[in-house]
Amino acid sequence: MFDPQVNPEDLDAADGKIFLISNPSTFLTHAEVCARAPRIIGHATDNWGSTLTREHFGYPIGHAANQMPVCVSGVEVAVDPETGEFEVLNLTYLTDIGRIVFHDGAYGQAEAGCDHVMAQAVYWDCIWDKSTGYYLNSYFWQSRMPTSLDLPIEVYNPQLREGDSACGPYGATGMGEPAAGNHNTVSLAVSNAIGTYITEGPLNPWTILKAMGKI
Amino acid sequence: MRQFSHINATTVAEAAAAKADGGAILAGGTDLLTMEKDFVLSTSADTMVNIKTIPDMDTIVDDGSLKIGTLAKLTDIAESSTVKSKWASLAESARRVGTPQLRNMGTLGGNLCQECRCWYFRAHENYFNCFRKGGTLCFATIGNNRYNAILGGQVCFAVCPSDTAIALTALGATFSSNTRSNAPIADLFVVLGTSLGDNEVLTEIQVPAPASGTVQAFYKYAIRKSFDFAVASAAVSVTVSGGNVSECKIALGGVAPTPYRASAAEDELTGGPLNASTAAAAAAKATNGALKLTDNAWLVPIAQAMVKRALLTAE
Repeated sequence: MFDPQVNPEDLDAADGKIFLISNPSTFLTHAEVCARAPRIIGHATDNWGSTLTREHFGYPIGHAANQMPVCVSGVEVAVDPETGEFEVLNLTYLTDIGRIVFHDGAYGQAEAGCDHVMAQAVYWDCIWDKSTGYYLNSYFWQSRMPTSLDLPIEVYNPQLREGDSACGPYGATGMGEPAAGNHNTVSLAVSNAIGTYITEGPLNPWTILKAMGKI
Repeated sequence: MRQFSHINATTVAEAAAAKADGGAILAGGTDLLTMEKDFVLSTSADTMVNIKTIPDMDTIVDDGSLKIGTLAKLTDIAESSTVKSKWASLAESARRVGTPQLRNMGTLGGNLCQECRCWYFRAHENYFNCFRKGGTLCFATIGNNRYNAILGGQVCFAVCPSDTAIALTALGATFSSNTRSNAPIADLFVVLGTSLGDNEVLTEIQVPAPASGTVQAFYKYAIRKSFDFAVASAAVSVTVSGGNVSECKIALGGVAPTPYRASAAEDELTGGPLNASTAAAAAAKATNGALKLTDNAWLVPIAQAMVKRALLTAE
């Protein structure tokens, strides 16, 4: 087991393991890494893919809510080094949602997931007064919830893959804005652009300027 | 919301008298009524004095200089062909205020006289009785001050939230009320708000005609692009004569309790050419004397960037 604070540059991955480049026998499995991830949404259930209640017209009937879709994402950004602003140029993610039962509904959820990615990466921020615990930005104008004009829907590229998840009703999975947990991909893209990791969110200008050593 | 009575003033004198009796001047109401709804202050006025019923105070007239009644809607200023053609930075600053709905309701006078947006001042039910409200402490100085003043802060570090005030400052505007005529716009603002007296009602803004060879620009940085208050903004008015800058006014917004004239940057630019190099040098001096609190150092590079970009836009 290695120190989880080790630098990402010192790591590589192969065969389901993440290991120290200098000592490949020191590794964590992907499952162990995921178990440590601080921002996993929800939790993997014990009956993941294993609970079938009965068959219906030859299809397995299970617990759709427990059948989580799997998604991967890629983000391209442009960062303004003077102000710490950044622009998302491309937000693509691919979701394996098992059998698609209602295409437009599923696609709507996929697109809304992009909104969640943007909102969590850029805007959602709860700020408390350090002395009193008072919630300082509780108004909508203070918390700066993004409007439709702030969300770059023209660069969204959500894609659905009809896969083989067989344990939900008719082979379907739950489809609740699955990309919502992928906001850290935006953070990684910004980190890649500026050359240093950002470990706080959301990606405020001061966070980026600080990471760049400008303040 | 506390109970209040409501009167429709038909003359400035009537409105001023009602204000002197403790009334609050109500124009667009986009700030005043939201403050009332949130019980921002521990007390509120017994009377709302509606001044929208005063005739002819919403006009936009170009008679060589620009004269705008303080009841003129922000939308009308932003879309006025006269303002856009000769005072473009003012039109742009009006366009950047709030949302279309707010600009349709909000007036120029209200935009200039609105209260600050410091989250300690705006806390529900007067949670923080700060210096601005008669208390003894500016809570931002010991709390989270990421949006508070880096320049000109004294007992209060809330920043002037008005966009139009910044453009008007760079344009050398003046104002009139029922007790003052053609006073410099800078005299309207003090650290704790405006200098308007208990019986004073703002009536008109005057903007001189730009001199030949003058270029102007307004640049605003906000976290949320669709509508938001300025984190930092810059308005510039630069007159170039014979290839060199003969006169220059640079105003900063969002970083000081009042519209802030960046005189060091103006001095840097005056007498020389306006180009990328001189714009960067002037921008670097725009925040001279900045006092950084614990969380607001990030405003310095952003304010400098706004000045540089406004100057390069005007180039």
